[in-house]
Amino acid sequence: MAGLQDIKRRIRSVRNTQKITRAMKMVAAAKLRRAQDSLANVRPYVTHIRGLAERLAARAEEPHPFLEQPSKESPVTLVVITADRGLCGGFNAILVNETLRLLREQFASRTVKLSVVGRRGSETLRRRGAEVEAAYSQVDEDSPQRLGRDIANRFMEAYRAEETGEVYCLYNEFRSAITQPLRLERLLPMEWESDRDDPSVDFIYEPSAEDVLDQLLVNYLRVEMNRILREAAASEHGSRMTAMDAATNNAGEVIDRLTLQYNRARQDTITREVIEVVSGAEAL
Amino acid sequence: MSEGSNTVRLEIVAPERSVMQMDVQEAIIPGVEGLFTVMPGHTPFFTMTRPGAVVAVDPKGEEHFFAVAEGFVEVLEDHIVILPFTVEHEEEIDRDRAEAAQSRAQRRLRQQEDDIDFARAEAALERASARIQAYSRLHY
Repeated sequence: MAGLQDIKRRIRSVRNTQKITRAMKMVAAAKLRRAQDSLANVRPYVTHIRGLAERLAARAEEPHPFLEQPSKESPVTLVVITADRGLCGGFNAILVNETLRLLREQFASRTVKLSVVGRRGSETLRRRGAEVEAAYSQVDEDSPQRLGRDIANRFMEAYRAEETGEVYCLYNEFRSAITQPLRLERLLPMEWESDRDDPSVDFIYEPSAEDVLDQLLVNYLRVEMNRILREAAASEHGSRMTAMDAATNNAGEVIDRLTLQYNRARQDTITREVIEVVSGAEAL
Repeated sequence: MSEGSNTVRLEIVAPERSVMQMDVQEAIIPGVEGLFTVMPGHTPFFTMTRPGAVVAVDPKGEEHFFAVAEGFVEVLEDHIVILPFTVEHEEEIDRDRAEAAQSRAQRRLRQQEDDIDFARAEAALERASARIQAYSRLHY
């Protein structure tokens, strides 16, 4: 039986941990709210750009290289979006495991160029033997534009130079604080819904249809990457909030149990002392 | 669209902010190949915007100004969609900031040092001028 002092110390220590997890939960909740707002603002823009690009592509006379059939032998670029920090439940671990599974199964026969956003993911993947070609840290999570643009520019360049034939992105799509399903999205070549019976309206393009389509697709990929980073950031905060909420509750249970144990131990001591006093009195 | 309708729906969607929508009789938009005016029943048209002021005339004849950055415009018979990288309504424009940015960009271009990024300085100058233009249309 642990001594009274020991139990007391443990209660205090668990209570301190609980304070930390509760604070982390609050911080995550605040960050989540901000991330959700910015996500809500970027989604319609992406949908619009994509809609325009799809309609334009359907009318284009010459197929754009970004819309061609993928070549199945060429190297694949896989962009994985993880977090810089841990303590967010299984968030990073799930991404890492899925990445390793993809490397083992779906992309087993191909050269894979792996780009990882987030220190946690790149460190763990390297440790587990994956070759990470490019690692980015989230740096400033409030402005993912620049990072999104850099990543998109990089893979577009590689794609145009035919160094890579397909570009995929693995990330969490944010639905709510508790559901963030993993998504594997092919960014290049783009996956459009195949048959859209667009009435071939007589359109005027300035400067030219090809230029406009090219600009549109390039910008679509940049903002899409931006959206993906925001989805992932919101998912991370949601995941951390849920994890810290659970940790706070668990700490509460541990405290209850320890308090019970402490009270029992205290009661035992008192009982023992009473018995000692009583039997001592009887002996007289 | 019903024949003879005298307004067209204008939508401006930019990242980082909510969608702006209004019905207009007329919209003047800065395209890469020059300013153009869209009225109801315009030929379907697709172009890119350069930084400048969008003027939207609402059904009551009142003018609204928006400073837009580079982006895309799709004009359909009853619908205009502008997708700029940034947009500001006339009331949101920070005149002092825009002027500071303008003179900074001008100074950079004048100095002609080798290590400056001309394209970037020029783009910054255009954006700043667009804001000032949209602002002064309102407060002249």
